[in-house]
Amino acid sequence: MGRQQLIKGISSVNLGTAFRRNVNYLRQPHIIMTLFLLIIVTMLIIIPVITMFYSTFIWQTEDIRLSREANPGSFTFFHWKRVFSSILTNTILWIPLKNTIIVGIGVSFFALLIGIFMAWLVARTDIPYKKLISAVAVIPYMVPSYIHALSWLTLFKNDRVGGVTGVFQSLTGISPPNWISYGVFPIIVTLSLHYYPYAYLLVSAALKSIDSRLEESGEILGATRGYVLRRITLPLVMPAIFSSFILTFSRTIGIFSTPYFLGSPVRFFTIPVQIYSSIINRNSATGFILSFVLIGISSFIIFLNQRAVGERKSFATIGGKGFTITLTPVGKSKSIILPIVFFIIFISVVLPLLLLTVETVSLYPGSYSLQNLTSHFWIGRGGTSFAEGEAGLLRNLAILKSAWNSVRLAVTASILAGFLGIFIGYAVVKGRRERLPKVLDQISFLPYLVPSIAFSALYLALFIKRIGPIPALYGTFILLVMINAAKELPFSSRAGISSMLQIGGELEEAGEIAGAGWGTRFRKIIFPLSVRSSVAGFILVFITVMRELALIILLVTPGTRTLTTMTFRYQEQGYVQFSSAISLLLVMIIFLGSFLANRITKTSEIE
Amino acid sequence: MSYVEVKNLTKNFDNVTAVDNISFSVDEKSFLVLLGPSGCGKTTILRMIAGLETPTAGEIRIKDKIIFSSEKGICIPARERGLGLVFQSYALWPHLTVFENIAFGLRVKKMKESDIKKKVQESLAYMRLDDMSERYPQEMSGGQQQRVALARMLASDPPLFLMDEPLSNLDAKLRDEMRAEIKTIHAHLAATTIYVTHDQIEGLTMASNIAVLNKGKIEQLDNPKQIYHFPENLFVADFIGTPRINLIHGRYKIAKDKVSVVTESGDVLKTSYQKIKSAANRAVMAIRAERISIETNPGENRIKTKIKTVLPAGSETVVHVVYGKLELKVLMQREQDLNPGESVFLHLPENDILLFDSETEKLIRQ
Repeated sequence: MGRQQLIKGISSVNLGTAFRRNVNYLRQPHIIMTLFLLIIVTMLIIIPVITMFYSTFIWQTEDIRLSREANPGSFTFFHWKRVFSSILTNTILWIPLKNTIIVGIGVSFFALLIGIFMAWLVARTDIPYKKLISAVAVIPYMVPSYIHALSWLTLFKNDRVGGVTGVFQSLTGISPPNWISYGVFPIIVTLSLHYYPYAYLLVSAALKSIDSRLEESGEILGATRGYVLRRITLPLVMPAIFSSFILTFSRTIGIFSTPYFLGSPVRFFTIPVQIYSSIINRNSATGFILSFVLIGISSFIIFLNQRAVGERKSFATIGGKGFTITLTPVGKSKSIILPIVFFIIFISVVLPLLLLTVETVSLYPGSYSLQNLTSHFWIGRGGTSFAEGEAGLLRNLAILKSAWNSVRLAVTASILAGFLGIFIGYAVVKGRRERLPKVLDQISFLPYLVPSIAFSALYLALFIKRIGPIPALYGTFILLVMINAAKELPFSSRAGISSMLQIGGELEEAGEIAGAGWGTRFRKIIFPLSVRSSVAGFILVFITVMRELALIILLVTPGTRTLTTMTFRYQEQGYVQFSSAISLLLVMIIFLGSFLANRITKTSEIE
Repeated sequence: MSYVEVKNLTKNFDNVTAVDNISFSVDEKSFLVLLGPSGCGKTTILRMIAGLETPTAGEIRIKDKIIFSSEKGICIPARERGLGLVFQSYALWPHLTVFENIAFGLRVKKMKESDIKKKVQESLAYMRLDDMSERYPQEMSGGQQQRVALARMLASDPPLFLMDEPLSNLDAKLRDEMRAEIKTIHAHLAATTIYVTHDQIEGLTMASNIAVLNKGKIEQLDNPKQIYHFPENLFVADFIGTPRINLIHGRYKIAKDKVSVVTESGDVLKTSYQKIKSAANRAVMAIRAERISIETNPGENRIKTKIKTVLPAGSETVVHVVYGKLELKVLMQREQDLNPGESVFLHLPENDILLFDSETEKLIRQ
């Protein structure tokens, strides 16, 4: 009876108190933060998407040369018809789409194969050199994906394209057939070698989280090794395997550099390449529409992943104390397996870097003899008639400037993304049960669905003109910082959320009880603790931004070039020594960064 | 004189009512234990008093100051309530030293640095943590961390101590020690304390008053002695006491101003009740395990049972016996020479039998 009266009492409360309650809700610090963040995130993500979508329905000035009906500024379905139902549709859409999917499936499959193989060996057997293998196995993923493509060209380039031929032809005199040098085969091979670490990391994490006693229980009950593998181990690792396939696929379809370098010579185009060339050729609306196609596929794939795996992200062992992993002895097969492993590591890590280094010290590309060695491309003075007057890398102002651009871009973007991640983490975890923070959480995840080249197109569409008080940001450094921070938002917001969950609400509540206001609590408790656990994340973002090409290729101008875009330029023009040297410099910076990351995470452990 | 007054306190989470229109008061200098199983709402009540949760309705008053009232629209934020709280997980800040952890609240109050130093050292000495001021929480044992949490609360001299299951993360021996220590601190400082636990032994040993909670409601609020000997309903009777209280269903009959109960096995047990009113003549008998004695011969108020398990624990022995469809427990001193399978008689003294109404489950008072 008491409760009925109470409910009646509450509902008849006067408007004053109800209004006060709503205002009090909005005044809570984490809600204010959420509102601010929502504005920022909408600007970085939602508005570009809407703008790009909108512009595909408007006649552009550049369309005048395409159609007599062009009326710049007014509404039209022309661009959509051009992509989906014109005589060009096959070339623009269907063939590239088919190619993209073939590459996607091929790469995911082989990368997964290699990744599972390595993961199994390292996590579950007693092969020697484990530390070395696990340290080195992740390297192919750390370097930009085009490194593998460039080294493939160094090896197998034939004379279909002008310029020097590759090592193979130089040494043997035989010209490799086109299908080996260019096109779908090398694309799949090089990308698989680039992506297997991704599958390796996911699967070995899953394998390591399964207590061997789960398998031992099976053995005690009489099951054979094979049976245990099939019925216990495999099902437990399945979610990770499935996820790896899907995530690798969604990343692969968005890759631009490798298909560009290896596919163009034989006119094997994928959607990202098509997007790039459409925009470069002043068919921006076509490029935008294709970007949406790519976003659509990517979103669908990720949606599939969520449905299939759902909440059960991993079958980590629950309960019980202690955790053992007994290793399967490799025995005699060691003599076959070890060489295979080292071969994989050789072709995915050592060989590409070796080839690049060789290129950088070759006077005349393609001539592989000792007399051909030179240090010009590293320290040579410019102004001579050689190499069109370009100075060696370490003296080349343009290249050094681009290195500086890369580093400051990576540092700024990772700090910005890191901070946003911490704030978003706080807002989402504190407001776990409320609607606004949930919306923030979902919007921060959106960039994950957008492949880099499409993202580049989005920002191009939006910032090419001025918006109200904001000047046209195209060509500025700020724009590059914004797009990189936005692209990394899913990662840094997840990192922020998980670090906030780890910190727990009670540490902040203890501050509240001690009398501290919100500002003091955030400054003295939450922020210091979040930063400590985000250092590793910060460095990961640094590395990712350093190797970005597709994300910024449409947005850089001579003043804002980075190491990656310089590589692209030099390679396009045939200056392989320069492009190789710049790539090596990039790899060195990335190695340095990840080395620092390891040292820092080891010294700042908070438990 | 009541120091804390809680009226009609209610808390709803989505569709679940965690705290259901609860009212109670806490006298100054007393030690109130909020006792109950998981999910009964005890932690929620504590957090509402602390200001970490906002009640759906009700009023909370501390020393005549209203700190929350849904009717009057008053809600003083936690940081202005000046209370002390020890969390179950201690909530020590891992990036600060023990000294800084304790000094935090004092710095917020903008105390002078020299005063802060003195106060922190006092608290450390009081909790016997003298050399630990420069350590970090992760470098200390669970028991030490717990004492740091207590020291942190004590340093700010709050008028009301709130403790949320502070001992549940400690092992058994340490728990016994800390129980005694907390009770000593309370006696020494004479501060009003509200203590949340699911451990009924903690409740019985430490409290001046216990509020037994179940599903958001108070089942009984009384001192430990009353709660133990006169539980108001079957829930309280069953929840309190180790081993659990013995419950036997039966029908009663009244003869010459004496109520006796007939069990389902047919035994007639006399009680000290003179009159009774209960539906369909049914009642539930309850008797504590330590009140029963084991005999070899039949007699008045004796029932025949068979021993199922004997659990000797050095200073005492618990014997489980089978009686019809029931399993009864007997608590005996020291070691006993009894074996499973033996037939023995249990003597249930008539003065120690409590009767409960089998429909309402309430205690029938004499």
